[in-house]
Amino acid sequence: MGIVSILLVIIINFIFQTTLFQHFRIFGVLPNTTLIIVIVFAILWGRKRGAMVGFFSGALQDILFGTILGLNALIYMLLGFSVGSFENKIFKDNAITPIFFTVLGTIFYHLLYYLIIYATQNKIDFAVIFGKIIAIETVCNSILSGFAYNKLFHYLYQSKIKIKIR
Amino acid sequence: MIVTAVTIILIILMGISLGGRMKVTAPENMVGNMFTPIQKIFYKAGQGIENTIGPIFRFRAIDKENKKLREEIEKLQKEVIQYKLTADELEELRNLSGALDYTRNYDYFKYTSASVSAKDPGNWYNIFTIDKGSSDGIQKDSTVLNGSGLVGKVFEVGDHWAKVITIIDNKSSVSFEILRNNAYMGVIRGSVKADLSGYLIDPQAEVLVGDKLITSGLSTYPKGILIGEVKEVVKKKDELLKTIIVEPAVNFKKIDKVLVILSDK
Repeated sequence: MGIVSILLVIIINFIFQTTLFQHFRIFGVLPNTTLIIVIVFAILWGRKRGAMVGFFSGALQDILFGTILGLNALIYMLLGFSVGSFENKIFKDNAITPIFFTVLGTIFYHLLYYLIIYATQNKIDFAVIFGKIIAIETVCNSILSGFAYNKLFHYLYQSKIKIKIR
Repeated sequence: MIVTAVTIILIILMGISLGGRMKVTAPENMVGNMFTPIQKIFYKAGQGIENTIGPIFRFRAIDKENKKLREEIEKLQKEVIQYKLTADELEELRNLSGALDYTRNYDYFKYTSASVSAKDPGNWYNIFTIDKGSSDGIQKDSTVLNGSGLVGKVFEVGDHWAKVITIIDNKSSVSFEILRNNAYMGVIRGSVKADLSGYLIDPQAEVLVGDKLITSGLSTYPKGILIGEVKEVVKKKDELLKTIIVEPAVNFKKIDKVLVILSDK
């Protein structure tokens, strides 16, 4: 996958997440497909590309919907970078890896978001956020990321292996 | 490291952009102009799909609603006759006040209508973008409403797009008065739970469940826009002020067309 196709994936995901998916919320919560893409790409390609993917998809969100410019870009970039650091130390061929990182990533995202919002704006009750958003989103994200990772992994690696066997 | 440098730059950016700016930068404006038309198409498409599939699963609820609405129509029709008589009287009085050269204390606003092009992908806020911007006369802090009531205000403006922050977000607070008795005033604010709660300034004020709230004109919003209905009145022993929980008049899950008040400041 070249840079053009990665950019296309980011842009298409952004457009779909802000428009089509908005009409199909689960208990008022939207699964964060951007986060899934950042984590899946970071696992597959390491910290450099993970950070880049995170930065660009976060920046897009910030420009059109952010109340603080750079907040999402910062969180997604750090997320992509830190997940990507594990790239050559983990098994890549099972779906548990992305699910594990997605659970951690979703919690990390909301914690950092909470910290910055808490520091800059109103005081928010964390228990409410956790029950209302984080718990549901973590479950949705981890299920989706398992599927997404499997598909992408097969697309990238499995096809080559088959050709070699024949 | 590049990541550290970018992190520092981003933190500085966050500090600068805190609380919204009067004008967005050129690259942001360009990105917004590029994405808004595309998003508008997809948003409409998603709405179309939801509107066709949704009712199939909710046919019982819709039937119930239908019956309730029919009863309401009968009730309202009776009221309409009464109001017509009052309206005639008001017309006469208005003419009279014109003859007496009485200055009106309210103005008719200029509106522009806009459609929603996309919504915030995160779950913390209810921010959405609309397809009109500064080229149509929209400014920062312009009031946004729709047919049912107050929606929110403009947070940032681009050339052909604008970011709108709703009243149910915990960033915005609205000063209100009660429609039944406009001496009772107070402030409400949204929360992450996406409901409105607030308090009345007068601790002796009588608030009832079902009271309608309108904007008082003391905050950035102009006077007389419907906000919602009182759902619950809470009086705690150790607090002086009465807390109220408000059901907003607007259904924030299904917004597609909004009106923006153009200020002539």
